[in-house]
Amino acid sequence: MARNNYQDFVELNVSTCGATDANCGGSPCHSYASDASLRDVQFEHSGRATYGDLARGKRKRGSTQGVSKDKRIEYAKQILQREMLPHVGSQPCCSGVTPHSRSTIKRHGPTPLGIQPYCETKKAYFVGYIVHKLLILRFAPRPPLGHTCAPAAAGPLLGQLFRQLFRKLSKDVQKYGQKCIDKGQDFSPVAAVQHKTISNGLKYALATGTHLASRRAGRAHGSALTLGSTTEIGNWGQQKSAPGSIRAGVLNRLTFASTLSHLRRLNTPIGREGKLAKPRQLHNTHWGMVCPAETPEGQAVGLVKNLSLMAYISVGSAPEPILEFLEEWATENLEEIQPSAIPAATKVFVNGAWVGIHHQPDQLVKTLRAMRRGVDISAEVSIVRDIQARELRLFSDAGRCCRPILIVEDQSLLLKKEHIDKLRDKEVSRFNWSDCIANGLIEYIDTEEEETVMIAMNLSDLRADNRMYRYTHCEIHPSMILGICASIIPFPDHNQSPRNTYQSAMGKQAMGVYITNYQLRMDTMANVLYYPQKPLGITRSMSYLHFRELPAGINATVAIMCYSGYNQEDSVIFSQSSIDRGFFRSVFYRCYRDEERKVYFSGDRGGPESGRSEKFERPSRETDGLVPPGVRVSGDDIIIGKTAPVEPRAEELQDAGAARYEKRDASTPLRSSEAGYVDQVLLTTNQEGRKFVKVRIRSVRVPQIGDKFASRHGQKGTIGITYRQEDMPFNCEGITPDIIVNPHAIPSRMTIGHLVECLLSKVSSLTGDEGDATPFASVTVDDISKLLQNFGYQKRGFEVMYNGHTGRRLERLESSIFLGPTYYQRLKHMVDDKIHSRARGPVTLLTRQPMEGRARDGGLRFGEMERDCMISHGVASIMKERLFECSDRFRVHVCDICGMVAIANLNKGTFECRGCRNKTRISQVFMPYACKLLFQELMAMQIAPRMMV
Amino acid sequence: MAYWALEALDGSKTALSSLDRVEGTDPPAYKLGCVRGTTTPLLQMTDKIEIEVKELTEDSITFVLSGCDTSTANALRRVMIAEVPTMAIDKVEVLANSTVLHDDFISHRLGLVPLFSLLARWGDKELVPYRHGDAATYGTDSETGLPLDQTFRFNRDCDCMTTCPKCTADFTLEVACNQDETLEVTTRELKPDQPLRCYAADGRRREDDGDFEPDASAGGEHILLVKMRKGQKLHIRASAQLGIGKEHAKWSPCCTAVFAVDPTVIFSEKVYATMRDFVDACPKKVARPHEPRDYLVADGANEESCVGERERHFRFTVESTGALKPEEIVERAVLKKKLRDVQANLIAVVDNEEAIGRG
Repeated sequence: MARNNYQDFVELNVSTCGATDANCGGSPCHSYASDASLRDVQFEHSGRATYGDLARGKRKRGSTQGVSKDKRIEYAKQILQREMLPHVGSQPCCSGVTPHSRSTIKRHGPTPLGIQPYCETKKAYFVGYIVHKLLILRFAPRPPLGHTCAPAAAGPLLGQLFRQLFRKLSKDVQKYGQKCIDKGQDFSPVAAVQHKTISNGLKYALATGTHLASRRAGRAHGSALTLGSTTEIGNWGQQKSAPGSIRAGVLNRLTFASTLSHLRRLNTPIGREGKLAKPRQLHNTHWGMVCPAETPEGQAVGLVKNLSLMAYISVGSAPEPILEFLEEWATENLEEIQPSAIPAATKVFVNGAWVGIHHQPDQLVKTLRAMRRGVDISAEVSIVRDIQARELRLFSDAGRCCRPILIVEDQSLLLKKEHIDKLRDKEVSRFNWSDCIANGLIEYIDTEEEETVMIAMNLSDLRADNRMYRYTHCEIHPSMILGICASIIPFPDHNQSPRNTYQSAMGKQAMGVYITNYQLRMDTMANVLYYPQKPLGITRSMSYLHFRELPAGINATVAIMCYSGYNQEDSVIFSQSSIDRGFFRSVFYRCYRDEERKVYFSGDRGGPESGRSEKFERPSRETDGLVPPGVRVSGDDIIIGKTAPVEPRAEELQDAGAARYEKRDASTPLRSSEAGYVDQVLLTTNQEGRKFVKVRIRSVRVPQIGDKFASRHGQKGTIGITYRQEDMPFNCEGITPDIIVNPHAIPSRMTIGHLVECLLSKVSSLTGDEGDATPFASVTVDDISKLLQNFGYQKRGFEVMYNGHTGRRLERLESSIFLGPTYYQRLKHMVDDKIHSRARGPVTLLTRQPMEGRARDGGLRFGEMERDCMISHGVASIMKERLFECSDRFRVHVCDICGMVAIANLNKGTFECRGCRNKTRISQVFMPYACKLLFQELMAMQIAPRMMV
Repeated sequence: MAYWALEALDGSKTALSSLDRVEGTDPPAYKLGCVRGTTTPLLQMTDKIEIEVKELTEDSITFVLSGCDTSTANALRRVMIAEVPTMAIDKVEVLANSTVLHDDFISHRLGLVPLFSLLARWGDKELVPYRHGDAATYGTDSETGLPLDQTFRFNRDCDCMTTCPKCTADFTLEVACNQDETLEVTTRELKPDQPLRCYAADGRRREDDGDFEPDASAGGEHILLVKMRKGQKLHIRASAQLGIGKEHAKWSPCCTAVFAVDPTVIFSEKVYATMRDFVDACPKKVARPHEPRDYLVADGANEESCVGERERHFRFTVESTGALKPEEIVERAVLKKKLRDVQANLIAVVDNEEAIGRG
């Protein structure tokens, strides 16, 4: 492309777009954007109009009429300087770089606070570059490099939000100042700065999950991902969150692993209903960044992802050191070169902006790498050299996915044994992870740079005789591709892949010790296991997840066998004696809260004296209205007694009314289906200085029939029956299993890991060590079997067992029972929380049909399919009873003449249809209340439904 | 049946009154119930049941039961686990608890503490504890005034309104931690109100079985209940009652009660000569050439070799929780009253059927 200066560019665009007059400054630019159809390139900028907006006249700057051409050109110039390609040629800015979609050619730009000189040249070059790329794409298509993930973390999102609000504030201040000047008033800074603009704006955004003026385009090829915010604020699980919304929710506190996992969750804010499979599939570039197993099932499959263990999101650093360095190292600035020099040289980009060209990229890259490995420039900076395209791209912005890899030189690691020894005794050597990075043993590689390096999977691939590949890096361990939840699975490499996905979801429902200070916390709900154990089969990742310190399960003795048939269809048999001894007992805490609020009445003026406070009190007992700790409470007991003032009635009514109440009851009862003991009562004051109380109720949950349990291999089941110790099968050592699982659970699900875990745990229980169940390790079943045999057991873990009821040997000589310890988890789903039945109970206000849901003592739905059954069975009366008599039966009186509902006074026995002047010919009919409601609604729409009886 | 065998073990000759001996049989046969007016037994035991004690330690017993079938052996096993009564803490009153474990947790732990009492047994009539002289020797309990051989009753059978010393043994646990180090609260702190009748097992075996006095000076294996830090307090009143393992595992006196069947391996001599390696490969060393009892080398056997179970021979292992001595678990597992009830009911049933048949 010929060298264009800025003026040329404007004219070029004006002419090519065929605009007759550049009266609207934005028009040419908009045309450019749309003509070039670079939908990738959306130069959204926080708080600033996009080109589209400008072109559509959403935001007008200066009047469009009666201005001279010069002025208009000046204005257009200004817009092009400020608004077009804002990342090119403006003062680079490191912090708070907005997260954005990515393409290979652009990076988001900084705030154009200062416009650099000659930026027009750069912009022109960049446009030329874009056109060049576009042409290549059109005429010589190359396969796309693949998408990369660039998640937006909570910090940058909040930063962006803050910036918007701050801009709003400064604009308000400006407006106020203008007003003061116009009116000739004194400028008061206190009145000018409305501090609430920012705090309320932030509060609002976090409470509703909507991003103020959220126009961030996140629909580019690389999906923009939102990282679950850690803030404990409502609005959890909002399904239809707009792109770029802050997803604030209550942090999952069921298990420690679920908490960790929640903090590393990624959300893709595209529609769940989209049929497109692509965004849900695991992509090659996800290796080591996103867990291949941990994703929810159902509609969000693949859209909600979880970061791998070692994945790291860059926080961003200033690009100035890089720019300075480039200048020092003979990078030729775009202003100073002949365009003809470009094709032979390598183009250098920093954060997506083209800064210049270089003639010895080899040297440059080498030096840059060396500098990064010595942390002379930030370790997060990614250095991507695209040899084919003659490009060198450097990134220092925030929100890139990186992961650490061992550096390889001359087919051997730079990390030597001496380093490992130093790492082993950290206390003495003071050598730690950051030293590894500073010494250039390990480096962080982002998704884009990953495409340009050669990574060995194992150390064994680096043998000197392996000259096939020239490795530059080596994986730390292949199991690091897994996320938090999948790292808890022993031998996941022996399982069918969906089983690992199921376990990843189930591990979050397991009970354990979710945090060590649980006794001091007032979580709304908490489950704590009585005697948690660390698993016998551990993975090495568990050390970093603190799974041994905060475990969520018990090493149960499990037999895989058929015994009495009470473990069919994913149910399990439990040993009642084990349960008596505390097996899988847990405690459940629920917290109730209330506060004394101020109640405002219609007559109040809103002054400080107005409004009356609610009070914690319980008239019948002379207490503060709160249950004391240690008291046993059960369904519907009042645990927080509170009264609220009642609005005083109007004077005339007050005289007439006999009884008048000043207060009404506003107490908090215990949930009707729960019972327990008051564990703790916290009485304090809230922000406004009013009384605020939290009451924690505790109840012990003993495993019983219907409670749900799962191994770590997606093998879940409910208790089908409990047998006492003497009824359980036993082996010659007197061992009775705690759990009996049906063998049919195994073959179709192919959870070989389950069996291997059992075998390994059996050996571990004999050695007294932890067994290593890390995936992609070299342990084989034969190795484990040999160990087991050395202890005098059948090598595959089989044992002869005897029937507990009869004492006879189970299964004749040819087969015996697979018995051994397996780590089981208790899941939060318990029958006591679900059991429900109702005879009569509350009805909904509108339709008078029974309420829905257990919490409201609702009815059980007699649905369409049940109805179909009754129809096909020919039992019409049953159906009438279920759907009518037991639901919303209602009596109406109908005029025989007009067929409309008549007036009935049952006390006096008088009936009347005023329209027909009919007092005698009235019929009494029964119909569903919902039907009556429909008729009335029809009547309100001027339609007369007539019941001709 | 098994009781008879126990006599030999015991040495004392107690008359076997519950079962009728059939005259003139050798080995001695016992009948269980007779049709009225006849001498035909309903169930005749002609087995020569024997018990040979192999090993007896303070918390476990290993013996061989032979001469009975599997059902009898299994019955013994099941009864030892589920129906030998013991004392266990059943009701707990928490007066103060500021420890890290909540009330229910500590209560559950207390319930599982094995309580040693010689007076925990079935039925009122069997007052005399095993292997002790008459009641007069022991005198009365200083606190309750009950004779020391007065066995505990089931609370449901007791004539008291709620609880009384005849059916309940109370304990007190009162600990406050005033030290900087972690204080471990163990069953040592569990103070019995009737220290002679029922107390927390501590893993010590008394020199003389007649010695009811728990030796406080000797160190024992106390069970950890809870750990405390400075400033925490625990004050609990607990009452133990008689119960059986069927109701809750805390009343079960055994950790394990199990029988194993010895395998028999029969080889022809020819096969054995060639299969020495195979025999040696067995990890459990089922067949040991030097102990001919464990396998038989049969000349001219039809099959070259066969593996089987040794019939009517059960190797029992019983481990005690500490609530009873292991040999006592075995002894008390013969529920004479239950057998008598079965006998009586069988007669009643037979009579009834006969009456129906005649009618």
